[in-house]
Formats: sequence, C-alpha cells, structure tokens
Amino acid sequence: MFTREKIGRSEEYLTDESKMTGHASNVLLPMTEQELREILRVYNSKGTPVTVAAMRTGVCGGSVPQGGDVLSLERMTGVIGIGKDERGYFLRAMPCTTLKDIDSILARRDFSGLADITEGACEALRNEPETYFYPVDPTEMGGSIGGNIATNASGPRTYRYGPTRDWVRRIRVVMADSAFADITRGECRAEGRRMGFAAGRNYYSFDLPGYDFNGSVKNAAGPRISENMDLIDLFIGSEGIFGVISEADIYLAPRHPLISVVLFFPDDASALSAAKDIRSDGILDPEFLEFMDGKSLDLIRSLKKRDPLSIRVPALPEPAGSALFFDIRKSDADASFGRLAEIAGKHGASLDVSWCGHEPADIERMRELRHSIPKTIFEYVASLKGEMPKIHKLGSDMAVPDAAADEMMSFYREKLDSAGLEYCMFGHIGNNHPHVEIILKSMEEFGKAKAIYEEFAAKSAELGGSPSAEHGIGKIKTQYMELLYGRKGVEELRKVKRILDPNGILCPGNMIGRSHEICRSCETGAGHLRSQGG
Amino acid sequence: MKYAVAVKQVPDTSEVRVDENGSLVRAGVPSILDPYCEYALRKIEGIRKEGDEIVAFTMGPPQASEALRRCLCLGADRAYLISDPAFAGADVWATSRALAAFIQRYACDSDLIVFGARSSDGETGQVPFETAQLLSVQQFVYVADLSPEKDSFVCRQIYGDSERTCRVPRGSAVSFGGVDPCGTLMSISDRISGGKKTIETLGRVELGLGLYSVGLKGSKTRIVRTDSSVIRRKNRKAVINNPGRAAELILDEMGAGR
Ligand SMILES: Cc1cc2nc3c(=O)[nH]c(=O)nc-3n(C[C@H](O)[C@H](O)[C@H](O)COP(=O)(O)OP(=O)(O)OC[C@H]3O[C@@H](n4cnc5c(N)ncnc54)[C@H](O)[C@@H]3O)c2cc1C
Repeated sequence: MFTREKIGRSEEYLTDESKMTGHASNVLLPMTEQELREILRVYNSKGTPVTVAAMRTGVCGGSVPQGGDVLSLERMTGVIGIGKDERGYFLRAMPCTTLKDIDSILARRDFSGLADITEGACEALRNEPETYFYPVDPTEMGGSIGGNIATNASGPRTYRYGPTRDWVRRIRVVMADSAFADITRGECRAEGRRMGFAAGRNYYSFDLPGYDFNGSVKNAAGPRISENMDLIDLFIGSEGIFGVISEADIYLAPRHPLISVVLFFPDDASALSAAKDIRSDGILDPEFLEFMDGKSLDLIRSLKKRDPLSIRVPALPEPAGSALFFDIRKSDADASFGRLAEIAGKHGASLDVSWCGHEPADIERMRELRHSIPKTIFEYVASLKGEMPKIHKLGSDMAVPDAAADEMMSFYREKLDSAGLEYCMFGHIGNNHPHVEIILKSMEEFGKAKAIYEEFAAKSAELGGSPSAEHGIGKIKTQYMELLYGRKGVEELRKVKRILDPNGILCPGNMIGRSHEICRSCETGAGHLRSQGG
Repeated sequence: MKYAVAVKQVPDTSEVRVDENGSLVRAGVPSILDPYCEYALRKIEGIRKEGDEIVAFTMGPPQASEALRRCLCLGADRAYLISDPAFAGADVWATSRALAAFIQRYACDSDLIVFGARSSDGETGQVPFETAQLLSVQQFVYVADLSPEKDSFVCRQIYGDSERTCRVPRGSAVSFGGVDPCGTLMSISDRISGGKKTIETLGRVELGLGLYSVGLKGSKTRIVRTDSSVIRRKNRKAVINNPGRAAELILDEMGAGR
C-alpha cells in the first residue's frame, strides 16, 4: 500500500526552483523503502513514468515532471544512525532528510533515538572534543541529502572539501524494476569500461561510455565516468535516471573553529586580484572563498531598503563596491589577521569597515547575506512568471581551470555589456566558479540572454571547464551533455539507461533527454540485463 | 563621561528547542551576548565622545568572559567578570546585590549605569530596577534615545503609546527598551583591538559580600516546580450592552475556568 494523491491544481509538485513547470497526474508519497519498491514495481509493469522529487530546491528542473506521476520522497526523512569506519564517522539518513536537519543534529550532538551503525558510534561521536559536521555546503540547506547526491551538489566549501561525491560512503538504490542494490564505495568497480552488478535477482552488465569525466574542475555534468570507475559514482550525479536513492551514508568531518570574514573592496577588480592573493597565501588558508560584485551588493542594499529585516545584517558600508567572503581558522587568528591587513592594504580594502564573525550567530548571518543574493534573484524571476510564463532564471554555473579564469571573466563581461543586459556576479571565486546572474526584464532580453548563455557554456568547455559545475543538468541544460561528451557520449549513457531502466520510467527528460523515444534504434546490444535465479 | 554597562551572557534563544516533554533543550546551544545588552552597549557607543570611558561588567561563569570580549570589541574600554562558585543559583535579588556591590566598589564614579531591557533567557526585566534601588539612584526605563548634556543626560522613553522626554541626572540607571533585529557585525579592526584588552575577574571577597548575600543562599526566590504551560484559547464573542451584565459574564467565565 502506498499513498497516491491527485495533483489537480496544486502546482507545487509541478515545479522546482528553476521555476520551469511540468505536468503530471498524481503524486506518490512513499513512507518506507518497502512502499517505494511497491510503487516502482507497479509503475514499471505498467510502463508509467515517475519523476523523483525530493525538496524541489533543484534549479535545473530535475524534479519537474513531464507526464506520468511525481514520486515525492518528502515522507522518507530522518537520520537513522551513526557509524565509524577506517575513514571516520559517518551518518546514515533517509533520502529526504534535509541538510539543515543533519546540521542541527550534529551541532547539538543530539543523537537520542539514533542507531549505532557500528558499535558505540553515537556515544563516541558525542564524546569527541570537536563537533563534527557534514562539510558539503550547497548554500541551500533546505535541499535533501538524496537530492544532493543525485545532483552531486557542491558549494562554497567545495573549495576545501570537494563535492558531495567525495563524502558519500554508501547508498541504497531502488532500481526501476523495484530490485534494490546496496552499494558501498570500494566494493564494486568496473573492469576497464565494463560494469556489472547485482540488484535483487537481477544482474546488470553493460559497457560504460567511452569518455572521461572532467574531475579537474568543479563539475556536476552527469556521473563521474572513467575506466575502472566505482559503481557508486554511476548513481552519484545521475539525477534519478538510473535508480532512486533510498538511504545514504555520508562521512562527517571535525568542525574547526572558524572566523568568517567579509572584506569590502572599492571595486570588483580589486576584490578579484585580492582573491588570487588569498588563494596562493600560505597563512590564510580559507575553507571557502566567495565573491560578491558591486551589483550584488546593490541588490542587497535595495532589498534592505525595501525590507530592513529581510537580511539580518547591518547596513553595508557605503563606499563598498565589492566584497570577498571567506573564513580563517580561529587557532591562527593572529597570524591571519596580520596577513589580512597586508592584503587589504594592497588592494584598497579597509579592515575598519570590513566584518568578522567569531560566534555561530554572526557566522550564520554572514552566510545569510551571501545566500540572499541567489534567493532574491529566484524570487525576482518567480515574480515575472505571471506576466511572462515562459521565463526562467538564467544564471551561469560554469567553472574553468585556474589558467583560464581571467579569460572567462572578461568573456562574461564583454558579452553581457555589449548586449546591454543587466547582471550581477557572485559565488565561488575560489573554484573559478562565479555565478553570473542575468537580471531579466522582458522576453526579448530573455531571448538575448539565452543565446549568450550558450556562448558561455561553449567557451567554458573550450577552456577545459564545465558548463554545469554544481547545479546539475536536469531538463534545462541537457544540451551541455552533448557539448561535453559529444553525441556519442550521450548515446552511450542512454544505452546504460536502457539496461538499468528498460521501460524508461525513471525521471524521463533528465540529463540525457528522452532516452527511450529518441534512440531505441541505436541499440547495439553492448549491454544486457540478465535475470539471476528465479 | 564614564558609562558602566551591565551585560549578560545567555543561550542563543533562537537555537533553543523544546523537547517532547516541554523542557528546554540547551545542550549544544551556543552562548551569546544578550541582544538586549548588546543594543544598550551600541547605544552608548553611539553617543560616546572623545575621552569618555565605557566599562562593561557581567556576573556569570568563567565562560561569560566571551560575552565581555565581544563588548570590548564593540567599544568597551575595560571589562570585569564577576565570577565565583558562590554566585551560582542567584535570583534577581542576589544578582542585583552583586552588581550593586561591583558598582559601589569599582565603578562608583560612573556617570550612568546602563542596562538592557531584560535578559532574553530569564525575561524578568527586574535586575535594572533592583540594582538602582539598592544603589538609591534614579532609574529610567524603556529608553529609546539618550544624549549627553553638560552635567546630565536627556532621554526619550517610549511606553507603548506614550512617549516622555526627561532629564537624567548623572549617576542614574537607565535601561534601553529595544533590541536590534539586524544585530551587529564587528569590524575586523575592532576585533583586533578588542582582542588585546584585558578582562579583570572579581570574586565574592573582592566585592565584600558575605556568603549569605550571594548565589542560592542569598536568593529570596525558591523554585518549587517548573512547568511548561500550553495556552489554549477558546475565543467567544458576546455582544452585551449593559456593562454590569458584561462584568458578571466575565466573572462567571473566570469562575468556570478555575
Ligand atoms: C537559493 C538556492 C541556492 C542554491 N545553491 C546551490 C549551490 O550552491 N550548489 C548546488 O549544488 N546546488 C544549489 N542549489 C540547488 C539545490 O539546492 C540542489 O540541487 C539540491 O541538491 C537539490 O536537492 P533537493 O532535495 O531539493 O532535490 P530536488 O530538487 O527535489 O531534486 C533534484 C534532482 O535529484 C533527483 N533526486 C532527488 N532525490 C533523489 C533520490 N533520492 N534518488 C534519486 N534521485 C533523486 C530529482 O529527480 C532531481 O533530478 C541551490 C538552490 C537554491 C534554491
């Protein structure tokens, strides 16, 4: 038995933070893995598609249905337990547990009611001198751990800790035919480009695509395909097209006491050159390094003018024309402040008006400040929807190698300035991954901006980067898969999909487009599904 | 002018949760400088002139020095931590006695004794009154603005609907009525200079207080039981034109509720 509700007019299940809208008849609400499996068994036998949705904070339309029903995991929440292996502590959670909940349980060391996945782990973690945390910080704490794994989310702290993928120890995946696989990193690898694994009574065996995933930059464009790849990496970043993650183990790290800093600069150029100095500095060793350009600061100013309480920070210093937001370790504070004074002096920043936060509440407010920029833009775009239903957010998500960072930055500015479009830049400058958000005012601008966005994507790929560094591909960026991996690469991924989900019921339209309709004729028989036993 | 600002370290109430039994869960909740006190300190910092001095003081456990460090970064010149195991369990009365003793011995030349409206954990709002009473100084509450004059101060008080502007003699106690919802973020320079200032710790003996004047022993309040209350309102509207009848109805309702 599982719950199925008519969607009717409740449009919330038909959209996500991309503000793209879709269509579906019902929403399915499993509470347990058993119910999830039952749903997939029924739907697979009927060949009815389901689109997996978690907290729907995705920004690429991954959880937006294109027919069939919505499979919302919203009731599969909660931390299950704590364990410890040779790498360290890990936390086991249901797929729709939000990062916020995980963070607060860890911050409070409140492990009451949690299971010991390995003997004595809860007690041992409670007694650790340092508080532990899940270090991947994709800004939006309302997203779920399953959604984060499905999109290989990353964020500011990827600068130090890498993306979600690096922190996933184990996942349970329910396959399209309702069989499940329990996949722990290191336990199942491909032989060259040949992958094989068992799920329930099935044994799946197939050829992996021939391309190599670019792991040298921040990259969320599909799973990390490579020779001898780990099976777990096929599901991480695969946006629900190969299977539904029903449980996950994620590693934890000790939280070092940190001081957050917002350093204000006279203009964008000074902040960007200071960012380079900070990155190469041996003393300042931030966990994240974020940029807010002059336009982003103006956006915050106007937001605060409209509603002073919208962001719980004091008024921004008036001469400030851009800012860097990063952190330093409390234990090295004296040395770091000394270096900071030198760097600030060299690039025209003043420590008298720049902020630092030592206490959790201050650090959180600085985070809110940074988060308010994309949030404001999302809200702005949503407000345009009434007048322009086809409009959606256009923000860049491209990362490039260090050597190409300046070239990419100039390319953004040249293109947008010459098109007369308004934009702001903010984000992960430490990973050469700023978000360039185009502030749209009309459908005409939207058309122009879309064309320019394509040029950005092509340029980032040409420079050895990724056009989708952290948000994933979803339904609105599928063309970048071909840009990166060619038609052949995408076709090879579709073949994998047809082995793992022969009826094409899981998340149609995500990442590789409509794999089954378009390309059944291309089948070469490279992979096959074999039934084990029974 | 010399300002003595009383502050308190409190658990960050925005982080405090209530468990299924209705008890406050404080484990892992960070401590902060009370936002009411921070507001008061910032108000004083805003009116200080060259040569003025701000002294921050708090009664609390050793870790309350972190709240004082924040005060030093936000403009206080000196800070005193009133801390002694004997102070544990102090109620409003015992707290006020310790604060008054501190002011008499270490800050008696203050031109103004400054408080926040109340503390966000205890919420009694009584410490400013009782301390002023013990010191026999005038007190001004719900202060919204304050400005120094030649030999005194002028303050504007806001009592809900009405406002009052009055002269505050030197040596008085004032408590500011507000809190800054956007809070303060300190500048890096202020943090560096505040980090270099020292905090002096004073115990019961330094304040000249007997064992039975402080802490639990010196407290008049005895907590018999703590309950969490759930307020259930059942709204009922009755239109009655006769005031006497209306009063009777209210009395009946109150009787039925007992
Ligand atoms: C203001 C704002 C800022 C953001 N900043 C960042 C950022 O810095 N970095 C970043 O990476 N992202 C960012 N995001 C995007 C978003 O938070 C992430 O993509 C997040 O991982 C989505 O999680 P979710 O639970 O909302 O998933 P959903 O949006 O519900 O789903 C996302 C995708 O994952 C699939 N999926 C979800 N759960 C499962 C599951 N259990 N099994 C299989 N597939 C599943 C869905 O089908 C969909 O394709 C931001 C979003 C907002 C609104």
